[in-house]
Order: sequence, then C-alpha cells, then structure tokens
Amino acid sequence: MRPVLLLQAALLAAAALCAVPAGAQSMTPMRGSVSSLTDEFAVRVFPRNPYRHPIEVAVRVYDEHFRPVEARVSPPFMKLGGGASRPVVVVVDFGPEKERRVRICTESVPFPEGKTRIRAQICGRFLARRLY
Amino acid sequence: MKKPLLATFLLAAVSTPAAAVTGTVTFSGVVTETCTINVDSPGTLVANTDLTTLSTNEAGGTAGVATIQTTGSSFSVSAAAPAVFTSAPAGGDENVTFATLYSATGATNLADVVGDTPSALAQGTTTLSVDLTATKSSGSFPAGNYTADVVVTCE
Repeated sequence: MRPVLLLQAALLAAAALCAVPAGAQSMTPMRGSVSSLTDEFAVRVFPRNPYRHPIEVAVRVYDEHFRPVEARVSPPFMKLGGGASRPVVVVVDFGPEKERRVRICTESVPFPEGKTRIRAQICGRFLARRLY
Repeated sequence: MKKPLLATFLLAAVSTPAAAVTGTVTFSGVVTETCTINVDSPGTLVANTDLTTLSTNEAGGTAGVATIQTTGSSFSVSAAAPAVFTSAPAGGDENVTFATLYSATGATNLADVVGDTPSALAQGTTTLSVDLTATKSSGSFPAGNYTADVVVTCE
C-alpha cells in the first residue's frame, strides 16, 4: 500500500472512531459585574449540559486577552448528566488592581479515548470592582 | 296547588344564570442570555498527494460541525487553530502550522472566516462548519494517526 493511502486509511479510521455523540454545554450567567469589599471577588456560574448524554466539563478563568488567570474554582472539573446543571464558585484575587475583567469559561473535556475533536468553550465576561 | 307553584317559582329563580366572576392568573418567566454549543460531528483530515498537508478540504475530508444556539445578540464565535496535534506519530508534529476557517448558516451567515477572528452571532440557531489545515513546511507527514482539537468559543 502506498504511504499516502496508508496515511489516509489511518486518518479515516481515526475519524470513524470519532463519530460518537460529542460534547455540548451552556453556562449562565454570561455577563455580570461584581462589587467587592475584599481583596478577592467571587462569581457563581452554572454550567449546564442541555443534552441527554453525560459530558465532562472544566471551568477555567482567563483575562480579557485570553491569558490564564489564577483563580480558585470549585469544582474545576465535573461530569454533568443529561440535562444537569450545577453551581461552580470562582474566586479571583484583585492583586494590585482596583478593577478586573475576566472571562469564566466552561470547556468540554475530550474523553480519554480522544473522541471529541472540536472542543466547545462557552465564556462569560465579568467585571469586578474593589470598593476601597 | 300552592306548594307546586311555589316550588316552580323557586326553581325558576335558582336556574337563572349567575353573574360571571373572572380572575387573572399571571405567569412569568425569564430567558437568560446564554449560548449553547453542541458539537455535532468531528472533522476528518486527509493528506494531499505529496503528504505535506493534512486538511479537511482535501478530497474525502470533512469539516467539523457544531450547532450554536444563542438567546441574545451580544455573543460572538471564533474557532481557534491548535498549536500542535493532540496526538501524532513521531516526527508528525515537526514544522507544522495550523489554520482554521469557519463558515456559518442559519441565524448567522458567514463564509470562510479566519478562525481567530470573532464574528457576531445573531439570536437563534447557527450551524458552524469548521475547516482545519495542517501544513508541514519541511519534510512530509509520516504514516500514523493524527488528531487535533479546534476550540470553538462562544462568548
């Protein structure tokens, strides 16, 4: 078998393995502003699995330029059953800033078998102000 | 004779229509602004004849498809290209650059937008089609299984 055919066969076989129901998710709220009297602010979001099959999701925090932001996310990973939603609390430090803009994103986690090749990412934008 | 007459009179009085009383039951609900992504199908990468490109646009390749539903018009979509393959045979990842293009139909209509560029989404259901191309600037792709993740973002 010619190398190009061998490679194409391997790719098609991998694609066939991928043809399973993939991840889906939503999240609320997706916009918000927070005022805080401390050095930190907290946001509670609700990732939701609107479909029938379970999915694994991760919640991650980024700044306005999509750089990762250090945050305490509880829980950072979860498995959501069909139609299920659960609260996730995100706590972010202001650092030296009086105002922070962050993206809180719910991301689908590809299964270990690597079956999901498009990863869905739902990002809410939040503005936090320190009141002192 | 008097009693039946009285009974008839009372029956007639009772069977007259009563005054209608109406009440209003109010229902209320809230649809929050949110975005839902459903990944419908992964894409299929196929090599070109000289094995320098793996692409969904080659013959036999298929674009990845996702359905996005929004309840407002303040959201945007993008489809970031990966930096590396998620899995590849030895040497498969070297000197490779990735590019994504996406198109949309439905509530939003777009054609071949560069993946990193955010596009506004209209309220409703949009079908997003994502193409991925991996190009090897030197050498050729060795045989093996390749997988790459494209991140579709709604924000």
